[in-house]
Amino acid sequence: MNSEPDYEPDAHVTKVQELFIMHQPTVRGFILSMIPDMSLADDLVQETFLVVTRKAHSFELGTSFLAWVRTIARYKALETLRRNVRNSSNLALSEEVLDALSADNGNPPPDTEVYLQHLDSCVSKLTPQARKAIELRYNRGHGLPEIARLLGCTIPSASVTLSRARAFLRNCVDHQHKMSAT
Amino acid sequence: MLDKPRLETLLNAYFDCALTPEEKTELERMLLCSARAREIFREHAEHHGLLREWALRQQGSRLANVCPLPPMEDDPKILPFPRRLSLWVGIGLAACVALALLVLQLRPPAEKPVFSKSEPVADSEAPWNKVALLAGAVDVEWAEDSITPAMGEAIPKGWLKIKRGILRLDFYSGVRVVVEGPAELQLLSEGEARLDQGKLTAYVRPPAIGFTVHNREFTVVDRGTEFGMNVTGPDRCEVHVFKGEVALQGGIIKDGEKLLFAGDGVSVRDGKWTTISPDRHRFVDPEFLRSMSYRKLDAKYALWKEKSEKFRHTPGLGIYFDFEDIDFDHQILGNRSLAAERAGDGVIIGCEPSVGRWPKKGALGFARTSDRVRFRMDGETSSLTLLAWVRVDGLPLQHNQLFSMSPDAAGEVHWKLNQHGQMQTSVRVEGKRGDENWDILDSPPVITEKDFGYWLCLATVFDGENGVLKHYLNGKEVASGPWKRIVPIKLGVADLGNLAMPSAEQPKSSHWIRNFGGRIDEFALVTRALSAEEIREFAEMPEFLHAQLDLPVTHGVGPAIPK
Repeated sequence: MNSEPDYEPDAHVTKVQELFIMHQPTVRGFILSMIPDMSLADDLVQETFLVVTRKAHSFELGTSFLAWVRTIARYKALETLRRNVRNSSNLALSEEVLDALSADNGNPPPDTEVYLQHLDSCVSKLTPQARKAIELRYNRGHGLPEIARLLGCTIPSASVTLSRARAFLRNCVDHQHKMSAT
Repeated sequence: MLDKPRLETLLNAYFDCALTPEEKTELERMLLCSARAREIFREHAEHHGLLREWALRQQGSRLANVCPLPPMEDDPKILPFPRRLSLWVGIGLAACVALALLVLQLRPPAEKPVFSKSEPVADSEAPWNKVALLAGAVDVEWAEDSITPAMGEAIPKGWLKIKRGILRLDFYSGVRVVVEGPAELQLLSEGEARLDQGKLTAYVRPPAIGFTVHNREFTVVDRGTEFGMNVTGPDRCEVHVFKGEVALQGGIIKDGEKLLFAGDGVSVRDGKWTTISPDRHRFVDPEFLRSMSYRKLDAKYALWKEKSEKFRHTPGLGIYFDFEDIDFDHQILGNRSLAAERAGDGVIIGCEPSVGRWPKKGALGFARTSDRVRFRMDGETSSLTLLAWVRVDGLPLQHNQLFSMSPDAAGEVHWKLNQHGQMQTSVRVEGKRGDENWDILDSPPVITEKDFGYWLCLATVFDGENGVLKHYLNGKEVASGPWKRIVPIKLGVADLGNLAMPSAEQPKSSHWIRNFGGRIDEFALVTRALSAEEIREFAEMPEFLHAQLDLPVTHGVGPAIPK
């Protein structure tokens, strides 16, 4: 006997898409961990969204959306890495390492919205040069040579600026998180 | 055991797509061997992803406000909204999921943004790369690998390294910084620097709040204050807050930032920091720097006075305007020549009183089309030398006249700069009009925009005995050519800083507007051909050898820098 679903098929797709949007930062982080190139990663997030939409009906609401979407994202990322093996050989980690990284459960993802709020506040505390480095890297997607050129410094110097800025932001966000928790 | 700092370095390189093959192998080994390394990797990846998310939302919020993404300063790539971005803005408006889907379906995946091909090359000479002004210096010895700006010159991003002495930098953001050598200071932007060695005192005015100084140990971010930093070694740094408030960030400051207020100080040694009392006396007093600079300027001015006194006796000196003790009540510019050939005084028409090469040195400013100093000599001369210390403020006209004499007569002389920065002189060999009736000498372009605002010594020789015309800039010959049709130079009515015209002649077009734009603080006319050595002596004053190192900028007056 056929039982009617308790919602329309399109509504199911919409719900899956809403889940994707909710977890999009985590998905992006996952993809970036495999493909650090931001431009490629952005493309992959979109491609993953397309696959998620196409396969939405195979996802059962109530099960782990993150586990499901990570499988799709990982597949798409590996597909891209294999396709671009010549270009990405210096960037991509081996599949053995990627498998090891996927095997660990890790910590639950942070509350994205809270994290982004803290991040927003912490970025405003960065020095002008550090803020510019972060913007060039994450807003513009520039690589280190271009960032160094635009900052008027050497590539190692740009790398240090960027690394310190990220470290500052991580510490600052953690600090704010602890402060707001007390 | 996990080498966490090394792992962090490798992870940063990985997420910035800058791993070498060897580093990649090293990172992979660490990740395979250590669960903790993988945990740290995931933390970094998560942070990396969230930063990208934050950045995309930033762009999205700009879009949502119908505000175009502004091109970043110095960023030559004008990114039209990539379709990716418009897509994700749509997605970001989560209520419109279905619409996002529609957009998604219309969009071919993996499209790359189109970048402009016309990327200007980074150029330290470009005005947008200049971040500060060298506003003062005392007894400075530059390191060989330092930028070595002249006094008053704009300084590009890069390293300033001095072995000794004191610098005063005026950052474009409004911060005044005094650096005491030996010091190594990297200018990063108009509001940011890095101090690796030496003492620094920063005076931060309200528009410049946020001025930042980096060091290996931490970063000092100003919150509106006066503070000093003293870096004596790789692991030794002090911060003294004299007024206001600063924040220390990064490096050994683990939790966000540490605020310091007036009366606070921190000393860091070998990775450990202790509080100290700020000691203002360990940093140079800006008033001391100022008075020391002025004492040196006054000393140089006195030396010039001595030299000027001697120059008044130069044989053949017909006109010598030293621009000192100008009689503005009667508009008289005194001719100080003591030679037998002495002519009369000059009459000032227009011209603003100005400051010359040193604060106490007089000068006249030429700006308006009518501005000039008129004088008169009589007779003829077979040779002539013109010398002047001028500050060129711009070359807006086709002809920017320094001097002209005896209009329309055979032997008429013009001395000018053209808009390309060439020194030009011409002698009329026939009383008739027409370009063919002039003997001319043009130098290559020798004055550029970089020279505007600086004092330059110009000289031109009309050598009738040897049939040669020569131009000199700062004592060095820059052009020489034959004077083929030698005629006696006609002395007569002359204008300094403008074009002398026959009284019956009236300007009929802009072609005849030829006034000089700038200042003059010394002018001499000698009725003989001075030797190269005499010209060098007039231009190159031994005491100026260090002038670019220790003359503060006063009222926008630049230095006398022999080039």
